[in-house]
Amino acid sequence: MDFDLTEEHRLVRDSVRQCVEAEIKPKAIETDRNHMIDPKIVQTISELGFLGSYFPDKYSGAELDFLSYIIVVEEISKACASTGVLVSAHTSLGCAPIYMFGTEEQKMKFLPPMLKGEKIGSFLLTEAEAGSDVANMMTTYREDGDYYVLDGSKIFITNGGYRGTGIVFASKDRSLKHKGLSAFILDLETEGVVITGNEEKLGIRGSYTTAFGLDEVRIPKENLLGEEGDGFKIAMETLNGGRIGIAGQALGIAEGAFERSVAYAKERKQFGKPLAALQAIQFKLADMAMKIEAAKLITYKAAWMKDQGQANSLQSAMAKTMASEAATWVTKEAIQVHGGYGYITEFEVERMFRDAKITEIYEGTNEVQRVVISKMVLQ
Amino acid sequence: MNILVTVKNVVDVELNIQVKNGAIVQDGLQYVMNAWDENAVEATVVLKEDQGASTELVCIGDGTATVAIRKAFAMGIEGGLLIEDEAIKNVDSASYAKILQKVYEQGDYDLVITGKQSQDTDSGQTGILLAEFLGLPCVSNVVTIEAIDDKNLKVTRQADGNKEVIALQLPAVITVNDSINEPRLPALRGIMQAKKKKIKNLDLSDLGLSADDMAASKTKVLEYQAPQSRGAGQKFEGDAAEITSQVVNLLATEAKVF
Amino acid sequence: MAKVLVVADIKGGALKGSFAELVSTANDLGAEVAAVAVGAGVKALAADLATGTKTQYVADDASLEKLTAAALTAAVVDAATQFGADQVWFASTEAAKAAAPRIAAKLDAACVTDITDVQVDGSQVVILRPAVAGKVVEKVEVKADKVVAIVRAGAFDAKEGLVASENLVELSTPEADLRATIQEILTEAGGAVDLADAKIVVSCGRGAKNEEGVALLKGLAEDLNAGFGASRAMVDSGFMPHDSQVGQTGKVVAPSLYIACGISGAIQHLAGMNGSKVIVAINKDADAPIFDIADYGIVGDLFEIVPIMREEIKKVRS
Repeated sequence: MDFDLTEEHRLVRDSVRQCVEAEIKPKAIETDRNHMIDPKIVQTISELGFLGSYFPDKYSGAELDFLSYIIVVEEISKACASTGVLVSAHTSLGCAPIYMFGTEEQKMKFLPPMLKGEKIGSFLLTEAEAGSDVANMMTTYREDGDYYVLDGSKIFITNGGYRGTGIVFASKDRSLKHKGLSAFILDLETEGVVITGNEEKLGIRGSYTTAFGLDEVRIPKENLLGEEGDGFKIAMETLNGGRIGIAGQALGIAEGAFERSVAYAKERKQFGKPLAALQAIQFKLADMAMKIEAAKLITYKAAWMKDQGQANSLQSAMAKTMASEAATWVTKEAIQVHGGYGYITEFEVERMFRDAKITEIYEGTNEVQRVVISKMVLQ
Repeated sequence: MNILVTVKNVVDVELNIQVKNGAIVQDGLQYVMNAWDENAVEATVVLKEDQGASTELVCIGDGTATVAIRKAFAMGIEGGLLIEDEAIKNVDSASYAKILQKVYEQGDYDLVITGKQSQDTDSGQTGILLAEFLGLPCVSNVVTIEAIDDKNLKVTRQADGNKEVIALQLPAVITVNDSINEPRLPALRGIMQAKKKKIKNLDLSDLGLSADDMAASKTKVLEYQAPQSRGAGQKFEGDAAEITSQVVNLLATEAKVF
Repeated sequence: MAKVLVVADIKGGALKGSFAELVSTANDLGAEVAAVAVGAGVKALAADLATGTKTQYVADDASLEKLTAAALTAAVVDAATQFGADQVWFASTEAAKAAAPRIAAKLDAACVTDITDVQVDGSQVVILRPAVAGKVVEKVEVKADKVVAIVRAGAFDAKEGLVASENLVELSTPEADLRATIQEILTEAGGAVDLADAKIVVSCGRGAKNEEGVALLKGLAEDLNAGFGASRAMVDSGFMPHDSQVGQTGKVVAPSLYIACGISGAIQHLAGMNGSKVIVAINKDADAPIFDIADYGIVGDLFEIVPIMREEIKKVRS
């Protein structure tokens, strides 16, 4: 048993940290305020390979392991959750399904531009009436010669605004429920793909989340991912893998808020001594540290199991749930440690508090995770 | 052009460092690649990219130094030597230079690039001594390197109040200042490739040296002391005109510097 | 009696203040002291060199106008050998840093840089020097018969009343090493007052923001007849010349008064100035680490504070 990071993981961590300190952290407030990640940041993280962490070299990936990917997301999210979600949605939801379910031709064609950051990945699953209940999907497709033609609409599409490469889900026959779903690789610049709205959000406001209308969108048949009818399986397995990414993101947010709280508690003097000398504050910090440590262990373990090729649905669900709940709790307490300043944008913990909440919701709400976990423990 | 670049794994000076009983408290220390060596590595990799130079690093240290070596690999250095030996403890810069001299003589190099100093000892001697032992020309504190051809460089060194443009014939040794470049961050692909690069382990006997050579150190650190802490003085906050006037008056009356 | 050879630091045809500091301290230690000066036209300084020294070695030749480390090495080794020096002392300059290790190698001497104190007890020489970016002080034993040392700025004080005894010895001009030749010297637009000699140093950091900020602080430096230094950030961004950088990698200064303006106080910067007698810091960020070592810290925007400070200084001086 070994809990140390390998040399390689330390190098990844240090490289991401330095990039974050230099380019991402100084702009985190602006990213949130402007609802936009500076394109220069996207360019830098592309050049450093943060968008291709664990995929093979032949697809222009960095060929590291899944834990390296989690470290990338964690370190970025410490400073800027919006940039963290850009990376995690791109990797887990955009690239991973092509890598897991695509043919060799599809991988060679679509992955290199994505892993180099030329095309940002996204996942077009959710609809107004189909959130956790995926099978209730209204978007449909039909065949027309060498094409599938899609009609419908999608909402809450993380990274949608980059109009890169999306994995889109549609039903051939709504009466077949989840068995009628298929998945397609869709260039979001295709005619008929229309952005119908930019979502206004509580947090991760720098993340470019859009709603799409799909109006007679023609997708070449070779872009079908897997077989027709595989859509539900592809969606579920993709989300399963994505959970560790969300755990990494939540973990990073919690750590970022914790680091700031510790620093503030040492600096800020009240009643002639630093806050850190007050037991009320000490206990808060102790509780934060414990929750973070537990979340980190399960998150890294889930990633490690994935790297070992072990089944990890249970640990992924636990990691996602524990880390996201640690994040919302820690960020809430971080504001309390900061007192009035915690409520002020400049001190950043209020943003982290807003950013944390989504991690309890997306890629399977924590209620869905508990269903998964309880099912497995009762087996 | 074959380049040998030196890399040292040293204590991270950004962290708190404490002295107890004449020794540096080891607990809690972290080690990183010497900052000036990062500049040396970057300069070397640039020469590889621009001139097709072949690159190798040498590191004198223990097993913990491999992370610094891998970092240099990830930045683009092609291969490396790790010189590890129990006898290399509390030795002076000249002893390090002696080891590097043997490394140089065993290889086929045209240029040695080192950081101008190491952030742990801050001595700034090793590269210069190496050149002296090898009888090679040396330019220290270099801020620009330009390759004229395979045998000639044009380098600029930061001197006192001016810069000197120097025509340098190879083989030679140069030590670099940190303003020479901005070391790149290792990209993830580089980190992956670094895994595949080989570290060759050598000890003193492999280089034809012995523990006696190290014992011949001309200086020895007897002990470490904590620097005199000067502590914070008075801090003034509030109305700009008022506090500025207060401080200037204190400088005149209390500190008596005006 | 130890024999100490002090290498003269010469700039613009004049002997720098550090020379008297080194010569004074060597005399205090009871050493027999000699001086060596290398360069074009240095013979003219013979009388100055004689203060506190018994012998003055000079290598004076027009070819030494562009003085390489190799030429300086050769001349100092020549002088040290003729004098029979046990110790060779340099003030801390880039020229010294380049030459000292070479001289040590040629004399089979130990080399110790950046020293702050030297204790001679019979044949044992123990030296103090900061290391690890100034976070520790090393107590170094010299195990060789001879030592070449570079003395940190501000470590030694000059004393009055040294006896001069002129005894000029001319050294032969060192041969040029054609493998490394100075083609050109690019002068930098530094401040009017040399940082190393300045009694007061005004230093500008990132908080100065732009040319306007630099000009404002330069004005303060001129008012005080102060040296004008900078943090790494201002040098990297091109607002200040490289030669003005104060810190672990740049110059070490130890003036009577150091005014840090808009400098947050990175450890590498502190390593270059924390030997100053009085430190004043002006910074907007009340938590900036510079305040941890400042004797007088002013929390405020330098663009607001400095103009007021210039006025106030005029008032107290008049």
